[in-house]
Amino acid sequence: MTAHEQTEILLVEDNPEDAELAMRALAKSNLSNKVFWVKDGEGALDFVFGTGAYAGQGPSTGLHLILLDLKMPKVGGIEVLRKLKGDERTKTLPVVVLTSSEESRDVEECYSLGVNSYIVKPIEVEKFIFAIAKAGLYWMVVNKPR
Amino acid sequence: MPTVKKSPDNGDSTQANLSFLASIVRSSDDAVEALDLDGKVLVWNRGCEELYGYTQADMAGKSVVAVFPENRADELKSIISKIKDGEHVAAYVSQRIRKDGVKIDVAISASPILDDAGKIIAVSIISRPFAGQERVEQYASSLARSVIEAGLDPMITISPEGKVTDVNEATVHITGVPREKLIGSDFVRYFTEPEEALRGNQQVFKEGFIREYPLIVRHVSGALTDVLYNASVYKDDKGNVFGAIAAVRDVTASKQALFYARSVIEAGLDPMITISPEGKVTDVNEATVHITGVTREKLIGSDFISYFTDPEEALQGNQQVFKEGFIREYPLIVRHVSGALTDVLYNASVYKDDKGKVFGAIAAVRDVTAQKKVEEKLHETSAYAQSLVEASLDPLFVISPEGRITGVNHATEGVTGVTREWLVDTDFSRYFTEPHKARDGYRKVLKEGEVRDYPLAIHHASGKINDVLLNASVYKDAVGAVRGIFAAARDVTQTKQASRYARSLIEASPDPLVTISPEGKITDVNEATVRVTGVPREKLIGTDFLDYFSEPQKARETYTQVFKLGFVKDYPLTIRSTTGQLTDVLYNASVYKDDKGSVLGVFAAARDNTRAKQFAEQLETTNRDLESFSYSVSHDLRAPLRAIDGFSKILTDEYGKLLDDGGRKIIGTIRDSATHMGKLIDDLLAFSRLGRQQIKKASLNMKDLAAAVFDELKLANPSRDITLKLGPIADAFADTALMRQVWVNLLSNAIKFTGRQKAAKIEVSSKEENGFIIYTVKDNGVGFDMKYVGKLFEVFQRLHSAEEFQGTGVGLSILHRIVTKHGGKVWAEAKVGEGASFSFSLPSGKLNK
Repeated sequence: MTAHEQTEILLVEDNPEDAELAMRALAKSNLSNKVFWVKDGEGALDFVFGTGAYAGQGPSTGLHLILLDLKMPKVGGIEVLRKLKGDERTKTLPVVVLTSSEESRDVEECYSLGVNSYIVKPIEVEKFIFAIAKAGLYWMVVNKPR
Repeated sequence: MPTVKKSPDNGDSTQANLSFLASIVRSSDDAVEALDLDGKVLVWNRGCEELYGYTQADMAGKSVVAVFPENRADELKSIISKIKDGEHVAAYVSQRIRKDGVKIDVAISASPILDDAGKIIAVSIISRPFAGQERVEQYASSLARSVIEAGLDPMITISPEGKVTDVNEATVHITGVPREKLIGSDFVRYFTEPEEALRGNQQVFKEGFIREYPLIVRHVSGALTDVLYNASVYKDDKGNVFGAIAAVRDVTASKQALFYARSVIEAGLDPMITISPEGKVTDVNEATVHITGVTREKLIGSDFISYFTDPEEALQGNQQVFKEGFIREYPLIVRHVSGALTDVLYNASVYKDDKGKVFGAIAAVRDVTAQKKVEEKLHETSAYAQSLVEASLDPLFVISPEGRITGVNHATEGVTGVTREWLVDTDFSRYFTEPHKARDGYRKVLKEGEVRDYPLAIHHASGKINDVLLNASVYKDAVGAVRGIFAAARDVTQTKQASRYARSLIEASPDPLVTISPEGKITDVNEATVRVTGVPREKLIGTDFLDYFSEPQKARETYTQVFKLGFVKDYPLTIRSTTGQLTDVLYNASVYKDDKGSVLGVFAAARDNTRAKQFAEQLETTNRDLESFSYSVSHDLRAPLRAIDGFSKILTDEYGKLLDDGGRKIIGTIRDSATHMGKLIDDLLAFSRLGRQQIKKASLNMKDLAAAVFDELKLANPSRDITLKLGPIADAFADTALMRQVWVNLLSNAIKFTGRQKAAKIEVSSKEENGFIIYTVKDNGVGFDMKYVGKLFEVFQRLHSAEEFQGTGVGLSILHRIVTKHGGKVWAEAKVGEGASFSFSLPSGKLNK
């Protein structure tokens, strides 16, 4: 199976440090081997729909969770969310927004687009790790996927 | 006619006068008798003795009826009655009986005798004998002849058959028919109404006479003459009527005169009367009734002199009138029946018929009581008035009807630069820059009685010119004749300058200014209005002011409001110029009224609001930019912080074994710094956001809010022993979220700084003072040195080191900002080691709602 097919969690995060921390967090929940990291929104959409850089690989079929940062260059998180929730193929896919933005308008917009969860990245790293680990565990283990 | 003169000795004048009269009469050849009003003989002269045969002794004290035939008994009564009415009995033919029983024909005339009060006390009768028929005829004819010829009035003798038997020159004149043709013709044919004439004549022959029978004579040319026909028969001693002798009095002129006199008389404000040559009132007007208090009917026929306090004076005056034809300003005093007296000036002149015969006198009395009073008053106050005139700052002129200055005041000297002596008697117009204009004004005053605010300019001797407004009026004397003009010249040089100055201010104003009529039309504009609309001045004036706004409806609303409330303030509108350019303005307007309070129009100013609007828009943009800037800054700053903190932790967790305590401590420091910085970022973000934030005030339960915040904080500090005591806490009228932050701030501080106490005690209470609610949070913590209390609320200022207590130093600044925004104050008190108490005040919601 290709990484593409194996991937169960897509991490969409433009900041490498935050991405690494997130990976470590997920490792705590023994989920790190199922994670694929894309650096921006465009990469996320290409991966999911099998377009662009991931053309030829077909749409990702094994995905169970997308961890989505909002503030990203080129295609931002909101745009990705809209596309994902707007497409029949992907709209049932759990998306957890993971962002440092507390802005109520972002929260409002994500929920109105159908986001499944909105997590504000804690400043303290422990809390950060804790939040991501817990979230991953919940959505991948506790929650029943479709 | 016998009248009674005033006796110099004031004795029993009536008696004296009668005896005087008696002596005159006694010596006369004519039969003159005087009778009292009962007909009893008072005087019987020699002529009477000879005519009637009765001696004086016979008749004295006896009724004269003795000489009257039985069929003429009433005649005496009739004579006396007429006399009593003040009338004279003109000569007529009658019959008497002599003592010896012979009937004689006599010609009789009778007159009243008056006492010195003017009362009729007796009758005098003069009789002349007729002797025999022949003589009668002769006499009659010669009498007739002479009387007839001499008469100014047309006279004719008429036969019993109605034929003209004789005429005089006047008859020829009035009929235009020669004597020969007249004699023998029917007399009635010379009248426009022969029937009337005939009837009249029949009356003459039936009753013996006719008086003042109105007829109209027709001249052959067609000209008509109103006449009064007077006639009486003359008979022989058998009583056969010889004929009638008639006199026709032309009343055309007198009718007209009377008519004229009547209307003049009635209209007059002054009492006017017409007086017969005998001094009887023949006509009066209402004013006379008023001044005498006597009714019209009683007045007419009475002696006019009886209404004066001094009848003798009045009489003399009247005599003068009839003698010289007029009298002027003859002072008399009229007595009202009530006793009230009126000073008058008597003016009279005779009026004549067109033949020049005096009809009577027409007199007017002018009430001078008022005038007299005025004159007296004037005398008293003239000195005062003079000083007022002098004191007046306005130049005053008194100008004669010919335009010459007769009086000036000090101010006039000042404005002309010419002294009084030189000013008086000069032509007033020469002191004006436009003399002809001054003269026009003068003529206007004379014509209309006054002139107001007539603009002129006076030139000073030095060359300086003063703009003035001339206000002038005529002044008249007591009889209404124009005496001259009184003028005041108000200096308006200043006013003119002021108004020029005002005009230039208006023009210079950068704000478009307009005046609008009550109908909504522009009446005046300034330069700025021309610029903002792009329409020239002349085209603007008279047009609808609404045309120049992009939203005419909105503009119309301002118009309605300004008339309703009297003003409009800062109403935003947009002016559209002819080129389409839009200018945002704030419209301010108010009505202006005249001094009677009626609205003359609206004065409006449009303040260019573009800049302000732009600034406001800019400000909003700036705020938005700042907001997103702060947001992205904090976001971007946090990420690296997380990295610092995170990887430090990883270092510790995974490589800690390789580090000694020192190394681990260093990592700890790195992590703490990162955390600290994160907090700083948060606080700064909150602080800056506060500046832009609009506070939303609502009624707020502060007690519950404080309790809730405390509970949260307590949860975050589970290991600590913290007790909260809540006293009475009043509700606030404030922004909920911000107040929450305030409590978070204060309570977390309290918790923090009591960290060293075993048992932390925090007290929260509030009290009301002077319209404010003061909330206090007291703790038993470490306190601080009051020396540094001034720094407490500054950003980043801390009174404790980081070692002692964590903190960004921003928290209290945020608190300070929030409370200040609500209109309150923050302060603190503390003692080192004994805790601190922080208080903040909020305006009491009751006043603010």
